[in-house]
Formats: sequence, C-alpha cells, structure tokens
Amino acid sequence: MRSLFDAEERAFQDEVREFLEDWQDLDAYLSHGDRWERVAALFRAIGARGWLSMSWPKAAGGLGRGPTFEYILWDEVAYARAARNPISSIVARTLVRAGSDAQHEAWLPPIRSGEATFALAYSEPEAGSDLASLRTRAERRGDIYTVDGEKCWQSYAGHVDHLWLLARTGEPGSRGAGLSLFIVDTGTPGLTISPLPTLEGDALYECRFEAVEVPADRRVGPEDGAWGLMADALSDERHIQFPAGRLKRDLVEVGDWLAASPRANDAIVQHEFERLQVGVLEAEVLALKVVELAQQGRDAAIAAAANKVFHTERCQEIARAAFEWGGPESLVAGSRIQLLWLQSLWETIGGGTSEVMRGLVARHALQLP
Amino acid sequence: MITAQSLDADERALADVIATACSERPVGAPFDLAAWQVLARLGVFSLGSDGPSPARGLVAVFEALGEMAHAGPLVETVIAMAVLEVGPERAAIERGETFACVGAAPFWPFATKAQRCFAIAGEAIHPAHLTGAAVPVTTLAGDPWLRSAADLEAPLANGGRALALGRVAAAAALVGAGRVLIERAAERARTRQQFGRPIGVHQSVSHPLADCTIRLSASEGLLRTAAFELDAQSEDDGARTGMAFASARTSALMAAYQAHQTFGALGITLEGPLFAISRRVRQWASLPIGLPLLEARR
Repeated sequence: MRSLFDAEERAFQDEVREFLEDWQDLDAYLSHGDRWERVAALFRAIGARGWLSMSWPKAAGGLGRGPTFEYILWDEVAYARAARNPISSIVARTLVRAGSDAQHEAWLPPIRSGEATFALAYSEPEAGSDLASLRTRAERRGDIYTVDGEKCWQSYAGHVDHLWLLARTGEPGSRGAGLSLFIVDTGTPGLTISPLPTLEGDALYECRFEAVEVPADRRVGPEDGAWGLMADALSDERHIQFPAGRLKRDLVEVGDWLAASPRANDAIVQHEFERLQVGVLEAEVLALKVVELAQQGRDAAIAAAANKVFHTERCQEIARAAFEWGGPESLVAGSRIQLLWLQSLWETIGGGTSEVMRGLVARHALQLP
Repeated sequence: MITAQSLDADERALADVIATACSERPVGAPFDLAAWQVLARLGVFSLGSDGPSPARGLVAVFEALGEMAHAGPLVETVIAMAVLEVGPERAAIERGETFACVGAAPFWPFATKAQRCFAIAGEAIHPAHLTGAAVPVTTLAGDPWLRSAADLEAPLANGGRALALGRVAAAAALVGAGRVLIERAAERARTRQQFGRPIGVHQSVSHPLADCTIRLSASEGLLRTAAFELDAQSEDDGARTGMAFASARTSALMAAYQAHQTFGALGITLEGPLFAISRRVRQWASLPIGLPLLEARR
C-alpha cells in the first residue's frame, strides 16, 4: 500500500530496500535456528544507520521520526525474511520513559548501536497468558536483589547478552501490583539457560534462577511498578509487531512455487490462492490501521489485538494451503513448504495467544462480558 | 502516511445526513418510491461522478445505507450513472424519477420500472435490450426482477470505472450491514440469559463475534483504502476494488451467519431482528460484479 505513504516515507522505503539487498533470506520464516550471528550483525548494521532509535526522542539520542517510518523499516525487514524487530526496542522504550540518567548513559548507546541484545524473561511454567500470577522472586538486601525462580518459553535467551526480567518484588498475592523489571546479564552466576528445541529447528529456552544476584541499579523504574511500564512500552511498540511484509513474502513464494507446479491450472487451487491474496491485503490494512492510530496518538490496543489474530491466522492459512497443494513433496524433510508450515504453528501462540486476543476484542470492541 | 482508513469530517457529515434523513424508516424496510426520492434529493445518485473524491463519498454514504439495509437498486444506479451520458435521461434517474436496470442475463433488477438496461458481462458493461417473453420474479429481499433474454450492444468505454465504483458502493453497503448485524448480535449476547448468565460469557459465543468484528474491520480498511486509490487513480485501483468487494462479501456473510446463530430461534423468525438485514446482505453479496483472477502484488 505504497500509495498511502508520502514522498519522504517512500524515499525511506526505497532506502531500506536497497540496504536489505545484502541481507535477504537471512532468517527463514523468521525462525533463527543457527543463523543468530548473522541476525545480530544485521541489528548492528541497522543500528549503525540510527534506525534502531528511529522513534526515540532526539533528546534521548533518537531520530524523533514517527511510527510510519518504523513500520516501513520492520515491514521491509520482514519481507526480506531477515529478522523480527529486536526485543531491545521494548527495553529502550522503557528506559526512555522510566530509566535514571545513569541507566540512559549506560544502556541507550549500546541498544542504539545494536550491540546490546536482549530476550524477554516474562513467562513461567505456571504463568503464561496470566503473567500477573508469576512467582519468580527478587528479594532486595542492601544494593543487591537476589532472584530465585524459573522462567520458561523464552525466545532468543540462548543467544543474547541480557534478559529483560519481570520478577515479583511485592507480596506473593500482589498480582500486577508487585512486579519489577530488571536487566540481568545472561552470564550471571546461578542463572542456567537451557534450550527447548522447537518443531521447526529453532529453540525456546528455560531460564532457572538460583540465588542470582542482580545489582539494584539494574532495576528499571520503581519497585513494584512494572505493570504500567510494560503496558506503556507495549503501547509504543504495537505498530511494528506484526507488519504485513512477512505474509506478503509467504504468498509470493507460495505463488512462485505454485506457478511451477502441475496444480497451477486447477480452478479450485486458483480460487483458494485468490482468497489468500485478499486475506493478505486485509492483514495489511489491519496492520496499517494500528500505524494510523499510533500516528494519531490514539489507543491501538484493540486494533493491535485484532491485527495479531488476523495476521497470524492468515500466516497459518497460507502454510496449510501450500502444504496441501504440495502433496507428498511437502513431507520431504527440510522442504521449504514444510518449514513454513512448522514455523507458522507458533505464530498464534507467541506474543499473546489468539484466545487472549479474541477475548480482548470481544470485551472491548463488543462490550461482551 | 495518509490516514485513509478513517472517514474525515466531511465524509462523516455526509454519512450523518443520510442516516438522519432515513431515521424514520425501519431497517430493512421494503422498497418505496418516496424513500428512494429522499436519497435522490440528497444527491446520492450523483455521488460517483461528482467532486474530487467520488469513491470516498460513495463509501461514506453506502456504509450508512448498508446499516439501514436500504432497499432499491442502489449499486446498480451508481453503475448506470457512471456509464450514462449527461442528458435528460440521466438527469431523471439522478432525481429518482426513473430507473436504470443493470443486470446480468437472464436477470434484470427493477426492469419493469426502467427505461434503460445495461448488462454486466465479465469486466464489460453493454447497453442491453430485453427480448422475448419476460417473466416477473421476486427476489429473496423482495425486489422485482424480470427473467428475460437480451441482445447486447458493443461494450461501453467507461464500463471498467463504473464497475469499480459499483464494487466500492456494494462493499460499503455490505460492511455497514455487517456492522449492524454484529452490533445486534453482541447486544443479544450481553442481555440474553441462560443458566443464570449472559450467553456472551461463553467463548463459543463471544469469540466468533470477535472474529466477525476483526474481519469487518479489515474489510472496512480495505474498502476505504481502495476508494482512496480509485480517487487518486493509483496503479492498483481496479484490482483493489475487486479485492475490497470480495473481502466485504465474505465478512458480511460471516457476520450474517454468526448473528443468526447468536440469536437462536428468534434469529430465524421472519419478523425477527435479523432477516430484513441478512437477506439484503445475501443480495448485495450476489451482485454480478465479482473479482477477476488477480496477480500477487507487493
């Protein structure tokens, strides 16, 4: 939908496309596998252009550009199958809002350059969608917090230098009102990070904290004050979370593959492919709706939930159709279609399940109980 | 970025004028000439050919007409006005005094009242002349059609644009009607008590309605963007209007099904709160202005 962008935005889109020519297909279907080093190098290259801090205020060392530019960047990166936007973006937005001057000085420059890498450490075995029930505890003694507990299902944790840890500092039953955020080095003694291999060849990680000591100056924002900060950071981030580029690339690849297959002239297949095309365009307008709301400074929470459900289900729909059309060929281990299908299964779970997202839409858009 | 998915103040005002003018008319009421001429006086039938952004104007007005499940050959008149040359015949249609019939053989909507007929054949529009014995039929939504053979003249040069405008109008009507259906179903889910609780507490009721809302939001965005592109005459406008219509018909039909399901037995009664809308949705969704095969575009 390039026609919706103004001249400056189109010029930026062209610049990003040119930049990405050297980074194509870096991260097949956005599943890192053993490609992490190249992905990290891409983040540093993006950082070197100032694009990791594109929307930060100029006073914080950013470019002060609007949400559309950020969307264009990560939409093009997704289309290039290069990477998803890094977790450091959430950390930076929280630091800009709530970090101390010393934390700004220590952390914003390496995040801006892409040198500092992060994984979220939120979910636990018994706290997935219901994060406010998490149990990992951070106990303060003097200038040190001692962290004990277990995190689970973390993406990237085995690759990065730091965890963005959400831990309970309040009373056990304090729910969202007793949580704090910390930056924890992944090499800290007492922290064990173990892979949980996933179906498509990548891995999630579990992180076990056993008397892990974290300096108090690694806490970001007030003690017990994480809930609001997380909501604010998420709000700043929604417009880049599910750009349509990935779906557009999936469809183009499946279309190219289909064109060369004996089923290309099958009327039923053509009709189904046409339906997928409409679905991708629908997903794109939903993604741009979130950008539009962000640009207008309006709340995009429900539009983002709608986008997440719709985007990820179209992703799976494309993968399922391609698998069907491929017949036995899809079953051959390592085939591109098989990888697409396997990877797509994660999409409706990670980043908020479809059930939670639908519940948000039902409660807030339709006022259902 | 241009915020094409939101209606601007003028467009919202236009929709409000239509809604206010038709507020006394029951949703889904059958066709009557007086109501038709109210629309004519408001300039509805010249929208597609007037002003700097005719397609966007159609979106605003037809979303409102869709919310009312307004009867009459609305989309057909948009198409006819786009192909007719300026003159007394076109002016009479614009004033709501006469009709144009736009159909696809063998069915001709409102043909008994029409002075001119046009046939849609694929991506072309032809002047048409009904031949042989014409048999009156009444449609699902109660509209008067004729079943007849027809002779077609050569296709008109401006048929492509007329069909694009027709797709925009139809998609907007479907989105508007779909929204009303889901609003009514959500109200039902909030208030209908079974086993001591509103039925909407069950995810099996609430999540399909959420899906309908998401789908309608996507269709609305695609439609409004397609209209913007049509007005701007951007490269993809023809394909986009086809996709917008395809999207809107899918979303509105899904909304209609889910609304009926949510209302249970009440939903399938003739006098219930849905059928007057859902039958109009089915009829708009069946307009012969569908999608050509498309190439994947970035």
